[in-house]
Amino acid sequence: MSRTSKLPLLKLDGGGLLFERVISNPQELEPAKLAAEGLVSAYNLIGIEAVGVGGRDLAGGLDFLKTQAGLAKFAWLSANLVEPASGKPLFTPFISRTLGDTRVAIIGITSGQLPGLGLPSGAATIKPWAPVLAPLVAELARSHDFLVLLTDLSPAECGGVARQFPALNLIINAGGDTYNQPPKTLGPTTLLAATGRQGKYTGTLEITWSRGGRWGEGENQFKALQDKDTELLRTSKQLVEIGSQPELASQAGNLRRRQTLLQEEIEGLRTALAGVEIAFFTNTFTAMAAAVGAEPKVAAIVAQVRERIGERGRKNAMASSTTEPAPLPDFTGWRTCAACHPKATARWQSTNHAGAYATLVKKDRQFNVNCLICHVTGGEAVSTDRLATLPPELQGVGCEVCHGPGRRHAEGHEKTRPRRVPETLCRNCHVPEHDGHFEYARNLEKIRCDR
Amino acid sequence: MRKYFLLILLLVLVGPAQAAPAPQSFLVLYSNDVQGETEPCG
Repeated sequence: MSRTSKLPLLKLDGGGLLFERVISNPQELEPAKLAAEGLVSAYNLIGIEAVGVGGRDLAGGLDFLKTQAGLAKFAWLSANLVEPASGKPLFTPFISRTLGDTRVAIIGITSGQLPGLGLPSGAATIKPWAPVLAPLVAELARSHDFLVLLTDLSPAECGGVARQFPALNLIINAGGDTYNQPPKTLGPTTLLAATGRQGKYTGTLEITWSRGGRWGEGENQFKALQDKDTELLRTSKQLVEIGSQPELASQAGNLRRRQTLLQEEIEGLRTALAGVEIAFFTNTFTAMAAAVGAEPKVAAIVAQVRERIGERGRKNAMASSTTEPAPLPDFTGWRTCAACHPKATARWQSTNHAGAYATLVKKDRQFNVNCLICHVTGGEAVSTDRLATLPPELQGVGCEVCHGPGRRHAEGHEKTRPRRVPETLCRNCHVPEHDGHFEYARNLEKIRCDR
Repeated sequence: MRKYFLLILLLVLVGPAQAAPAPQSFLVLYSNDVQGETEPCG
């Protein structure tokens, strides 16, 4: 068993757990809510201790969040999301945990800076963080050794928090754009840690901490002391094993000299570290896919959620297909393009764009409207519930996604179509959450049509 | 006798506070959300 596996463990989430973004379309919100319910069940199984209430968590409405909080075995933390009339927090402001001998307080702060998020007036309001944190941090710093903040404030705001409240030792930041960057110090006593949105990774921080410590203090000497302690133990064991065997007398002499040297070095390091408040960390990232795969019960929840979303989407698509298919007057589909541009079409058919819809079918996600929009052609011209009923020539990322609607061109009313694909267009779908390695110039080369 | 008793009591009370406490180690596992894991598209 490794040293790490013996250490006390705290499992936290910065917030923004339930929703990827603020969703105004009810048909997109429906599958997102199903996924959110699955997440709470999965977190219950994983044994998460606390989650910050992020602004995005309110995207399904305050009542939905309260319902999920009721189903959760973990604490939802927010000190500044309050009931307007009384000013009382709507969720738990903080929790305390003891890890070994370290008393840890975990506080939640919700960002009020989320575009498009309309809080129900009279039911909830988000107070500014500074006046809320001031008394809370002061009080908790007296009774705890280590303070953690879970928040979806912007990374810049987190810097402000660290400057104003250096007693906060760790900020776990949700929803920022620092995708799986190693944790960084925001000040001598405050560390900022974040994983990318959509949490495809989790981070594990191994923290060695003394109350009142400053990050990095005594790190090298402490690690050297640990190494030398280990070596001294090994040397002493070897000496015991050798005993007084005459043929090993020379080896025993060397070991004794090494033992004496190590004892002196250890004494020197202990003297140097006396009075130093040792504080340092190491960080590793783990892919969630591997973690989920290793936990059959969580994998079962994931499968169940996918199935429920698929079923709901299929039902909606069938209901909408009983009426006349939505007209797509501007789009013609790739088959029409192929008639005059066979070489370009053949080239396109060899790209991932052509098979974009097939990848959804393969994963049984062709009825999930939140996925479909980036896997079809002309999706922006139809209502969400029609996305799953588009004709086959518009399934996949076809010619008209890059070159624009082509019917007028096909009918001879427009001579040319745009040739250049702006990067902004690609980045509508190639977002970091889904395609963290997207590079415009390199990817453009992959999809270039031969004329 | 009482003097020694008080000295010992003082050492017991003051001693631990003056000694530098050993650092404690623990793990914090953190994530922002697992939305993408339950419903990734492609």
